[in-house]
Amino acid sequence: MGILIGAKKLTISIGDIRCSIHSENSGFLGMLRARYESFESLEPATYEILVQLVPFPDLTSGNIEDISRIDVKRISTEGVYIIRRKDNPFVATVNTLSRKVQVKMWESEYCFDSFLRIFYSLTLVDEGGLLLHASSASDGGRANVFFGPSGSGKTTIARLSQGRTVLTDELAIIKPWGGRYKVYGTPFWGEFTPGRSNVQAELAALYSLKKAQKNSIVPLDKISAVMDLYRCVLFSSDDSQLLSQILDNCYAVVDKVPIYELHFRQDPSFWEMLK
Amino acid sequence: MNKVKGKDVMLSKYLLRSDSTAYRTIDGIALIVGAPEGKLRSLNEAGTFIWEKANGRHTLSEIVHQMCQKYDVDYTQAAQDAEIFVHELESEDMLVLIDDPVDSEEAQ
Repeated sequence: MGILIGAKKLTISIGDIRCSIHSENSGFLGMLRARYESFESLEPATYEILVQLVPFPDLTSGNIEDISRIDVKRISTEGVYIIRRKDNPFVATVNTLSRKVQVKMWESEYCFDSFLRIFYSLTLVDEGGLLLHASSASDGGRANVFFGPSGSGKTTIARLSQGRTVLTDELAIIKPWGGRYKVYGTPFWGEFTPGRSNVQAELAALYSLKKAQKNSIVPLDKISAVMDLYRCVLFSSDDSQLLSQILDNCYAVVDKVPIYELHFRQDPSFWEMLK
Repeated sequence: MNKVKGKDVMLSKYLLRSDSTAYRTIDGIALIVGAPEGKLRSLNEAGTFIWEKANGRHTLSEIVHQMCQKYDVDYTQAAQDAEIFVHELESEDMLVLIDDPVDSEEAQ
């Protein structure tokens, strides 16, 4: 990648998808290295991400001013997408065939984190995976995933999971793995931030969260399960092909993994039901 | 392809699922996602029947006739319900009403 001559790099692995981040600004890379310390990898990367830091006004003027609510937009049939955000602004071109990414952003770890979330939400689609608004905790090598919209109790569940390994309290990756599914911790945490460790485990079950006065578990039929799951996938695009793939990925998970509605009191007693 | 508005002429028009809509049928129920908002909705059995026939090669009237045969329901009532349903999906840009059938090769 000739354009990267002289650039420094940091390789990270999230959900077993590795990417090398290249920037000529060693201070910026150092900031990212600290933020993603647990996810740094020495193995070869699948994606090459070239970061170009630009002044804030350059990202909020001209064509970029037209940024819509859409995060991911296909711009060619050859697997090229534009991804961008107006808040924590960045604009990136992602080529999913050559696995090259060029991103322009303000010098901010929050902008990069915003980019990284959307980048992973896109790369997971082809892998049959999902980036899910969920918390997750593992016990004995198998993990439960607790998903729901903001305010449903994801962080509360993480706080109530003492004695278990908390993979995430905000965004979990789930991906096919040898006919089953794995859940991966991510560096994308919410309020509960004990260490952002890079942990993975076999996915045991999924729970759609409902706060309640007493604990109960209700099995979900496949349609309700797909709908609940889909609504918690981090993904925003106007591309019907990608949206169809997300639906397919949700259905594939629901077809393989037990999925329930979890009504829970805000104390650790719900764990008794999950044994 | 001219887009047609209004319910009065709706029955004679061909129904076509919008290109910007994603869908999957699970256990006989269609789940559809309309871009750009990405809003997901599920259809009932009758709605799924109409949705799956909406490939640009059947008029709404033909589809309602087929539905009446399958479910043994009254045509007039079924047509009224179908028009309301189609109008709703058309207003959300999930379905398009066209004057002429699409070529077989184009049809989804």
